Amino acid sequence: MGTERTLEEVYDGSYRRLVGQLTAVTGSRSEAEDVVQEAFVKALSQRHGLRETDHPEAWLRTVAVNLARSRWRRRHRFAGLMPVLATDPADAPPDLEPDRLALLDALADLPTAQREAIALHHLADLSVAEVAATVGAPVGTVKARLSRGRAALGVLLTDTEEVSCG
Amino acid sequence: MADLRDLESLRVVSEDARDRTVPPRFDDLLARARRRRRRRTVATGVLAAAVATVVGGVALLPGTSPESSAPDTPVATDGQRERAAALAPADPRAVAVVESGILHSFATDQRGDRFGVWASCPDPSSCRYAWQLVRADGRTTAGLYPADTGGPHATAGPDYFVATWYDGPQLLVADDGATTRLTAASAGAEPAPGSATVVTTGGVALADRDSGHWLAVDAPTGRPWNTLDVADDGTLWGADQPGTDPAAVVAHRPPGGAWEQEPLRGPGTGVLVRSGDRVAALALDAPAVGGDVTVPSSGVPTDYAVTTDGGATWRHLAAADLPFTSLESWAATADGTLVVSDGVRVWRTTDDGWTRFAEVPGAGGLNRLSGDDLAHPDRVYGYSYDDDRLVVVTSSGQASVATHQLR
Repeated sequence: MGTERTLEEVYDGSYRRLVGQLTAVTGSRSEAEDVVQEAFVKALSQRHGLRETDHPEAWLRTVAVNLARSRWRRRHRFAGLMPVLATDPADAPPDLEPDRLALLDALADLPTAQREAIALHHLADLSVAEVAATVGAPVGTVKARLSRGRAALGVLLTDTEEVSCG
Repeated sequence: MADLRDLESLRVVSEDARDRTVPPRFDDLLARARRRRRRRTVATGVLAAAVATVVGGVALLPGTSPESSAPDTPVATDGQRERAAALAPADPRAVAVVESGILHSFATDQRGDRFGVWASCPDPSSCRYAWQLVRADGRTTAGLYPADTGGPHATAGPDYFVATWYDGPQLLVADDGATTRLTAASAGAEPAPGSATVVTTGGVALADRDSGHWLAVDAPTGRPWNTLDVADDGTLWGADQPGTDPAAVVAHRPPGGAWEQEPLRGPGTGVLVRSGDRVAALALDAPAVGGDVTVPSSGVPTDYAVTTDGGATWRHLAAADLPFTSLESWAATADGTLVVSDGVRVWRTTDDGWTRFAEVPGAGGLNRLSGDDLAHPDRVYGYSYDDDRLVVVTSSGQASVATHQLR
């Protein structure tokens, strides 16, 4: 019961922030809510995990990111669907300019690891060390993914521009 | 026109979602968790009853095909039975890290034993690392990696593993779970066939289980090695880091002989993988990372060089002729098939020359590959971060979930 009450305090303080961060990763607020809720349910139903950590929000974020990856993999495998950021009009911030939407579209075309790194660092405002801890990769690897991802984004945006001009 | 500088402005996506979210009642989640705990208790009871009555059955993980028809554990020899009798007990602190942590690296050895290095990061600025050994017979043991920074690499020797980090301890874990911290050896020692690689601040070196040392090998270029390998006949193989030079080389040297070098034809760091006399090397365009000392193993290929006669002749393929546009990981089966993952799709070679590739269906998303399992020579093991699963890929192009997972 003690663990449940402690987790309720974490829930009150972290739930909305986690949904915001996972929205950056998944591109969908409803998807983000699903995986964040599932992370809390896992924490409540498992003996280990959250109990071992001094930073429950970081643990929950990692679990939620892993769940988002698994869902994406299932969709990709069985339906051939790619997650598209902000496909649901209700998920899209109402005042996003066309250039920003183009950037979001390009972000959706990146490989998973690069997209996660860029979303967590640039959109969810996590430090590189926090991204590394969340995705389970060394800091150097995350830096490389950010570097590669930004380079790939540049190419994608150029391609988009050429298509729209041509 | 969209600009990369606009990335920071996209925080509005995250902030907007946060502001518009209305959390459901916590008690609703608590009720879901309690229902799940009850279901698990019932399922455990049913499973225990089934195990008690069914011997030798086949268990399928949901949504997967079964592991290939070869038995996961070969018929035990006297030596293996003796080996099975001794296994160091698992450190409970390490088990906690493995249970709650994330896999950083894994390797498999020639007996089919599996070794993973796990990180649990309660604080983003510090992590606890632990290794876990899952033997081919399914028995496990675990211990702590004696450092709290850096993500150790796992590598395999014939019957041992090494967890190693640039400026961290080089920890050798024997197949009975006993550990040794390696120390640097004096120059001139010859490495044993199959020696595991060790990452040092000066590049890659080789472990020596018998002496408890790691051995530095001087490259003919004077540059640091990025990959090293010792063949069964003692021939050393290496691919180096070009530094400021235009290209890396792949080099080999028989015991007591002279180095022969094959320059790679594209920019970037050299990596290689070997199976018998077949050796494939890639020049990888891996971006510089901060100023960190790195040993890149993934990146964008700029040249592919392959030999099937122990380095006597080489064939080069341009990046445009390869089916993969990036390398996430690669490994070879003991029976001589090269398996490549770009992180999304997986390919295997379909010819003896390692120049033709076919995609392996159902094996996408593998982030790390490890091969050279003599007990199952047609296998490469692949780990998917997405699924947290170990997958078996065979030289015939089948993919299935491994019977013994990494945890």
